[in-house]
Amino acid sequence: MEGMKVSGDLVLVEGVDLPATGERLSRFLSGLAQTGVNMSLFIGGKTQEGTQFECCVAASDEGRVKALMHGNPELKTGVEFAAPVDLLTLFPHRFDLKILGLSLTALGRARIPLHGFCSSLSAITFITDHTDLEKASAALEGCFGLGAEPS
Amino acid sequence: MISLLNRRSDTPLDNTLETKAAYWEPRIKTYGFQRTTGLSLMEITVRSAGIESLGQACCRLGDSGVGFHLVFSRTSSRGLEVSLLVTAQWAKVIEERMQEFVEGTDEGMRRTSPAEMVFFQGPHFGDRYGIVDTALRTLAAKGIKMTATACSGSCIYIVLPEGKSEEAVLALSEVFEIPKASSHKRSMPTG
Repeated sequence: MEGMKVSGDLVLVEGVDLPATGERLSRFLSGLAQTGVNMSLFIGGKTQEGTQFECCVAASDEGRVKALMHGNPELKTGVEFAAPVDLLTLFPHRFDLKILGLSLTALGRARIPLHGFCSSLSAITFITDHTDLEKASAALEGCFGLGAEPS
Repeated sequence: MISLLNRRSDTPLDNTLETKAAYWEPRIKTYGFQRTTGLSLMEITVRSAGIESLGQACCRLGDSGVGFHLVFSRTSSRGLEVSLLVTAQWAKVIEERMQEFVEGTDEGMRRTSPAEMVFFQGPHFGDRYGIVDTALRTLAAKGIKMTATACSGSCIYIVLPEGKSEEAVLALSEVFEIPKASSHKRSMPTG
């Protein structure tokens, strides 16, 4: 493992769409695009209850996203803000499940609640509560012998 | 092209005008689409208390040489919904090696097999808005239903049912700009 990056000042938005429609997710994503809000991370997938999704946006965009939700009947329900979060990104993962396993073991052992994680071509990003940032960073640094690079 | 977006600050007491620069282009450039077939999507729901055990199970899989194409997870009312997208040949190995862990979960492990994946990157994808929206709208307009989508950094991954990745690449190629040398690359299943 070569390094870890911390991305802070983010908020997590969680949503659930009704089965077979996809309308809420579609409106949410279009709304973000129209208001110029970038997502640092997005994860969505089909479940028995419908399409569930979550994304991280900059805390400075929270007001714009809330305005979007309040101004759209489809988004008034079914889309919620969670607590402020940070992203901890480890690289490179080399498509090795052991890297994921060691990370989850370290975070689980330190009792860090996870809101999710996602791999990219070379990195794995974990979503943690902002209040747990120091503990989570220490757990991963200890596991891989790293120093965090603030972004 | 760099566009400038002017908007009022969100802070009620602060009436300053914020100017934000954003990279914009009429047709979104990509570095090409890559698709992978012959995959299995393994899904498991884990409560917070089970994260350490899941980690240990993943370590054992890693020690056995099991790799992944994509891993992602999000929360639900039931816990952490964890998805592993792997080469189909690993699915049975994963089920066998994780059996002990899976027995301690409420819902067991679910497998969607075969599955396919399309992923792509482009300039400044990590810092721009509207890319996922454009991709998913394009697929929806063609009636292509995604199984899952995950994006972090500058990569966009779309997991699709069997036989849909080629159709998805064709649809996306109509809307996104791709390098002229190659329309898309196909990744064969690998260990």
